[in-house]
Amino acid sequence: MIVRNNQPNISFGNDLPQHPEKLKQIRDLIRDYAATCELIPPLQEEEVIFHSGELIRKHPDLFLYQKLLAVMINNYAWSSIVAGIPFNRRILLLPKCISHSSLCPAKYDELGLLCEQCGRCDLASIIGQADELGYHTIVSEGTTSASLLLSSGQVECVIGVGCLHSFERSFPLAVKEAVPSLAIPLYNNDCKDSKVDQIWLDEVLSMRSETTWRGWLNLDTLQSLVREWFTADRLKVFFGSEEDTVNIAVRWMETDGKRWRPMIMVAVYDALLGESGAYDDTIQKLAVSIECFHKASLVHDDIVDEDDERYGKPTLHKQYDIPVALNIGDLLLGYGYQMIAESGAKHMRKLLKVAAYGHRDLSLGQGEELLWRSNEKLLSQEEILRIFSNKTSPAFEVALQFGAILADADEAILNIISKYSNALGIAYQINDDLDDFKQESIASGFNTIQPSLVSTLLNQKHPEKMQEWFERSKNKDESISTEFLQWPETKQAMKEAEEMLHSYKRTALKSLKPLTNTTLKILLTRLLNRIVPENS
Amino acid sequence: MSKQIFICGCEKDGKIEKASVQKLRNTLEEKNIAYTYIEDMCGTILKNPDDLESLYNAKDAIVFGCQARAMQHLVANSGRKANENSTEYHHVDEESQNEWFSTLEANTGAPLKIKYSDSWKPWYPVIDYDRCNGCRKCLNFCLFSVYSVEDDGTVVVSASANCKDMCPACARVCPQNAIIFPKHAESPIDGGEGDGTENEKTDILEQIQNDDVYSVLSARRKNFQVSLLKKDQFKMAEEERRTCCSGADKKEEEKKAEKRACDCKNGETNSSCC
Repeated sequence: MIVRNNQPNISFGNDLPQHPEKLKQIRDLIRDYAATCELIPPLQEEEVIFHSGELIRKHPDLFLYQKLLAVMINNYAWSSIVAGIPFNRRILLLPKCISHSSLCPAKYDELGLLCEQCGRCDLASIIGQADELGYHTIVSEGTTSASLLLSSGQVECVIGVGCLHSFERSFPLAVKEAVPSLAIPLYNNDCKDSKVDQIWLDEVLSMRSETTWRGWLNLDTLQSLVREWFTADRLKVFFGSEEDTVNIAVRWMETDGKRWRPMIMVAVYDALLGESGAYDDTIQKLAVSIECFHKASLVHDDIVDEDDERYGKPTLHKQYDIPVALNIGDLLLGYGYQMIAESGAKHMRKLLKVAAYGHRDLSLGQGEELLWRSNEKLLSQEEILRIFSNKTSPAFEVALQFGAILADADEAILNIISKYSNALGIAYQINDDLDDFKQESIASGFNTIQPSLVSTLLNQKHPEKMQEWFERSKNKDESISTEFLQWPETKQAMKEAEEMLHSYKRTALKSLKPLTNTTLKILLTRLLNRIVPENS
Repeated sequence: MSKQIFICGCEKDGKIEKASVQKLRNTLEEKNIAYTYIEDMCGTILKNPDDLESLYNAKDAIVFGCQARAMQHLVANSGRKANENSTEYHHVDEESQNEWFSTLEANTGAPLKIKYSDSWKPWYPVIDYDRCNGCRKCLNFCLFSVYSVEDDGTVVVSASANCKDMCPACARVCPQNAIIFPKHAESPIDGGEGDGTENEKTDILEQIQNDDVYSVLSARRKNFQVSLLKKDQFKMAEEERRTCCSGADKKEEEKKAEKRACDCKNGETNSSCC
């Protein structure tokens, strides 16, 4: 009568059985259920809700515990990974409300309560046990510490005790960052003198399999490692020539850049092989080739966009002149293909094809944009999304595919990567577009120099007004850049663009659903959040 | 014009000394000085704000109760008090009370009482707007939507009843120390001045974001254990000093104890314990 639709009324799902036996019984039910379907973490929120709905359909009496079921399903999905993580890489987050509400003598620092283990509450014994195993324990209030740790991008595993309310808040972050995590809800939601099921907690705390899971990648470490391949000395070896023109190219390669793409390639490779650390010449050459294509596109872009600065320094065509810069871009493209061809990689033809397709698509995207510029026409939504996809997705896709091909990935994985890259690229561009609109004044965003989704959305709704803005902008009316931003309709269009951004991010995550390789799924989930961060 | 006197008894799970309140009331009654006794200002101001009309409208008033800052902002948060009225707030335990009383006119009448009969314990935050900078950390922090934002960006306590009894967590999160829980046991969360240590912010949050999380957490744990150890040593030293300075009987007792200890050694002579 109550649970009629797909999403049961949440106000009925907040309960928690008050007996350890009942909790154990539900955990067993979930184990049996999970045996019938494959739960590959990280599960997205809608997947968790779907599975808890299925469980309720099978066991209608569980409808009171919908949120608990969601927590337990998510726990189950992560359990084998967590069991493979050494205790000293796990962080135990305990809620302050377990402490004695009036007699607790402990002091605080910004991270939380500094428990003295005086024995007035259960914390003493829990922390004692965790210490013995080697956990890092934090006793905190609310979800601030949890959010901080989860978003640090460094935490490999979190075991969290808290009320269902607090899980609702930290769950989305744990999913986004794909942190292996288990949650154990408190019996009560009153925020004082709270109790947790010790049997369940013991079970979770002491869980450890014989094999160690090595799938967690420290992306920061990886990035700094990859950077070492881009020192002038290393690059000179790869480029193998001391000619003046080559020296300019090497300097352009060496200077600045986050080395995102080479890092992404190596990360995918590591994730698929399940290990990290050893990179031979083949891998390094391919990493450099990817950066060659990227840096070539930057030189050409700067010329086309008439930009004077990049990385806070003069662009290459400002340092020299346009013909020199054009030629350096071409040279880098040549070197890019040469390095693939000379890399000695096993699937060289596949790699060359991926690189060539990426190169081609980028030019097609750029081409459509350039033709549009000379037409002085406002773009349709369909056109702009195609430009976004063509212009940005290939760069990510080439890096991701290279990593996968190097690790002998099958066709299914390559297809998933393709879909993922497409959504990721569009999301990245929308984010970039929105960034322009979040400035004080907008010089390039007004759909004249760069295609903009926000402007396109406006144009669909208010073609006449937009035509007027457009004319004024063509007549070099400078007041327009701020006026345009303050237009309420612009704000509305930005909101719509933001929704589209989220939708493309969701599409990217959905594309990962069929992945059975947990490590790769975790990595691609994390990368999405790094490349297109929230609220940036 | 004479001052109007108000006393808050903080009766609902209160934190101030009942004896202090009683002493104050006795003094006033002895001198036959009129006053208004508010059973629980936190409760009444929220549940029956009209009952406090006399306080809002008093041209010149003194309020005795918990921390002055807590009461001041509690009343200010209600938005009912006219700005031009002067109101002073004092803690019931403040020592200068007697000076106050000497300036008051005696024989002004019998006490009045403002009752609080609700069963709900009025535990909720009060914002000190002299300190609040509108950062909204509390708003994002609270799981129970106690706070909200007005159109002009002011953070307000809009759902006091959602607040969980004895949970002062948002006050600790507040970077400005602008949140007061009048019924909290400790300063400065209760509106008191604190002992200064609460402003000693470490950079642990920054470290977590920039350094290796695991080493930061290990170091934090180690430092804390060292500080606990030091605290223990300090306690032991204190105790030792106390025993040293205590009277002769105590020394006698100790001697006896020592003797007993010697005896335990079964008559072994020249034992080192002596």
